[in-house]
Amino acid sequence: MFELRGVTKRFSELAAVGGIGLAIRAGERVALVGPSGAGKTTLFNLLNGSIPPDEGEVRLFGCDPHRLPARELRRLQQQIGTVHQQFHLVGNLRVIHNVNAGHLGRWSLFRALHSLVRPLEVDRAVRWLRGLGLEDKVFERNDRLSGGEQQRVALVRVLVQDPSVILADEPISNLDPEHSRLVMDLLRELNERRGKTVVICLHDVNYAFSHCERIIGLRSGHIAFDDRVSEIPRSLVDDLYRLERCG
Amino acid sequence: MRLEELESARPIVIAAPERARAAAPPAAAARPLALGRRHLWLLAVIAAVAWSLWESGLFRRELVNEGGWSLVLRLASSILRPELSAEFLAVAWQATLATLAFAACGTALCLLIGSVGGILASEVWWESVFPPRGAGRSRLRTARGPWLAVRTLLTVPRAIHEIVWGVLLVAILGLDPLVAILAIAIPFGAITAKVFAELLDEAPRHSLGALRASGAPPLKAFLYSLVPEALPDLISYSFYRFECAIRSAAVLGIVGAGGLGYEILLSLRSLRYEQVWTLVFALIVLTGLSDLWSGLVRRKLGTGSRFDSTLKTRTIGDTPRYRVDPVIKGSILGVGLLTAFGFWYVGADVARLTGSRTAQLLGQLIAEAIPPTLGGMTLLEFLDVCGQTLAMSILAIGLAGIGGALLSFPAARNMLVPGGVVHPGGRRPAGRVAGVGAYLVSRAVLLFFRAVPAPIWALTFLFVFFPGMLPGALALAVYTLGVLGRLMAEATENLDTRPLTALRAQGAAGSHVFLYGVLPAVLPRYTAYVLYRWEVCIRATAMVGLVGAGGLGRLLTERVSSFDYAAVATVIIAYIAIAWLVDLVSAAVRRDLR
Repeated sequence: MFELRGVTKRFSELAAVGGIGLAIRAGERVALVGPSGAGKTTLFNLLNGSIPPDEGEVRLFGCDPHRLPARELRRLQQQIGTVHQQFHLVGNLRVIHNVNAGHLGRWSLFRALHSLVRPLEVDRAVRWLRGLGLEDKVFERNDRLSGGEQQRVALVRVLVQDPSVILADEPISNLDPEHSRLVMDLLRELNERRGKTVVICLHDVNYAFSHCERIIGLRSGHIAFDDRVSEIPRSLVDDLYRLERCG
Repeated sequence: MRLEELESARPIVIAAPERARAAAPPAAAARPLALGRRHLWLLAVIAAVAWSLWESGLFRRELVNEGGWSLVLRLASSILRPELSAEFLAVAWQATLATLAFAACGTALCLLIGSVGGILASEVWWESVFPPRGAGRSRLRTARGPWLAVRTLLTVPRAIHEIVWGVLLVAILGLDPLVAILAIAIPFGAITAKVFAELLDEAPRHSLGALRASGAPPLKAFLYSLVPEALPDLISYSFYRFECAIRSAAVLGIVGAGGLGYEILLSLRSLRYEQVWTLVFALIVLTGLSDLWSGLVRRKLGTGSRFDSTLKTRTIGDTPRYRVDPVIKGSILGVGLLTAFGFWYVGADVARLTGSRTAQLLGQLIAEAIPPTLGGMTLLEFLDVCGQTLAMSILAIGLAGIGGALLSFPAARNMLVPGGVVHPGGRRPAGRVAGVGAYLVSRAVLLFFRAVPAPIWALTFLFVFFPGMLPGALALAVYTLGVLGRLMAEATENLDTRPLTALRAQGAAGSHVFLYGVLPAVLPRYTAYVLYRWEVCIRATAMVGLVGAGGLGRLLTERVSSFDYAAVATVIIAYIAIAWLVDLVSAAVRRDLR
């Protein structure tokens, strides 16, 4: 599904990701752990085709996204849903429109316009929002929501998009324990019952062990370890964070 | 929670304890009412535009003068052969220098008025002169009286357009360079005072409080606390005023003060179109250079988009720090030299201001103006002219708003050009060329529209339209479109692009990203700009009225040329009243849309 070979990405001389090789197969449930600045977000942007690598090769669904014609690239990206760390929602729009933005890859221009005047597919959006405790916010403006609420809206948008891969960049960083569990359970269920490939970037190591099958540790742009959960001793993950703090 | 439950229509109960406690599943939020306040405003806007169209006489009477098309064609065709004879180039050069000199002197005086007025019009000044005593509701009373008085006093010169000041000053001072300088300095000074006062009031006050507490007198405490705090914004706004002054100086030529506007008017009236273009090109270069300069200084000062200081949208707290950059140092020195040159070049006879003849004429004029009369019109007729003026401004701002918004997207650096968020062409070279082409063309159109002064546009439209409010409205619309399009393009360029790239990353097409990401983010900003320019537009109707388009401006010209100052006073009062009304409506709309 995803294949990275010797991928390097620099931002003004500084390598955010340096020579990474990585393969993720369909149906996997992967946790990506590592201290801040380890290159997790950059890796995600490489995986969803938003940025091209400086060196090496990125293959999504077996193709190089940056060689595809625009239309083909869009079709491919519709299969990859990203929950961004800073949500990246449109503040002035109501929640329903932000959620419905998940349909944009499929909707015709006319349909997209129509929905802005009179929201379409409200029922579907409401069902997902209700599942995450947001049923009373459907017609609220997005910038009136709290951080935790926006984070869940961003997740609902991806659920509505219904991609075959979900990339979640710290999806529970703003949530209370109750909602964190709700979201993590949901992601696991999407993987187990719907066969969606799920890659989650996490700071909470406990969830990495309890909810994922495979853990990839990142440190300063390199892969520190990559194995099945059962093969990884807890201390290895703890070291990842500790080393960074000393260095 | 089960996926099936989420996706089925049945109401679900979530396992979380606080959810389980609620007996019935909470109903989803109700859809908002179909008719909110925003919709009411939208209806009001549609009604206002419809009324303005009716007022303009469209479809009701013959508006187009078929014979005029040949003149327009001749004017357009001579764009490729501007007159370049050495003799005429010398004329154009002198006119350009004169315009520059008027602008420099006008800005210098305007800043003088603005600095003094700005301190006197700031709430914080009066509060430090009359420190609040006591507590509760009576706290601010003493400081509030003089503050309100200065504020009110400043609204009058602001409501009157530069060109009206020009007309009045010509009556007192005759055709003198002083007219152009004062006509810029008086209204600009009042606006600057208001903005400076707001900047001072917004600056952090801790340092002022500390200095006052240690016994420093108000003015000195001000100089050492608030003034340095607000300085980058003050300098930035001053450069913006200079930029505006150049445009005004060109327009003021029309009342006979000289400079580029005057020469353009002369050449246009004598049908020497080749000369017109030479002068217009000179004006484009002059305004373009001053735009660039002011933009550079403002960027160096870190004071974002050009209207931010007047629109008060910047959040308090991110006050840009003032670093003495060589560009800024040089610019301030340059402005000083330019002002000195300006006063030397125009050779304004300042003694004339204090001369006995001026005082005598001024006294005579005021005596004649009291009491104001309708000058032989019935009240109904007069109100009709006021209505026409209002309709002209609505029509102008409506067209300019739509056109400016449409052009602003191709003209923004981050939209259609390759790498932009809605770049449609993909990797095909044809798409890239189209994107860059649209960018360049729209930029050029906007620059051209705003570089040619509105009265010149009005004169051009008067070739093909019979005099009335329609050519005036069109002229104002074209000019305002140029200004608005540029402002809107800047707003679009300053967008947070992360939500847009997020939409892109999930495979949405350019048009969809535009609809769900760009449009909702920029619309509130665009509305604010349109409302702000509407306030400017209503004053500017005087400008196009002066050259023969309808409305109060034309009435004013007629009254001035027949020396009926009592009637002139009425027109000016009407202008102030309409401007005040427009400000009120615009403030109300802005409040409701927030």
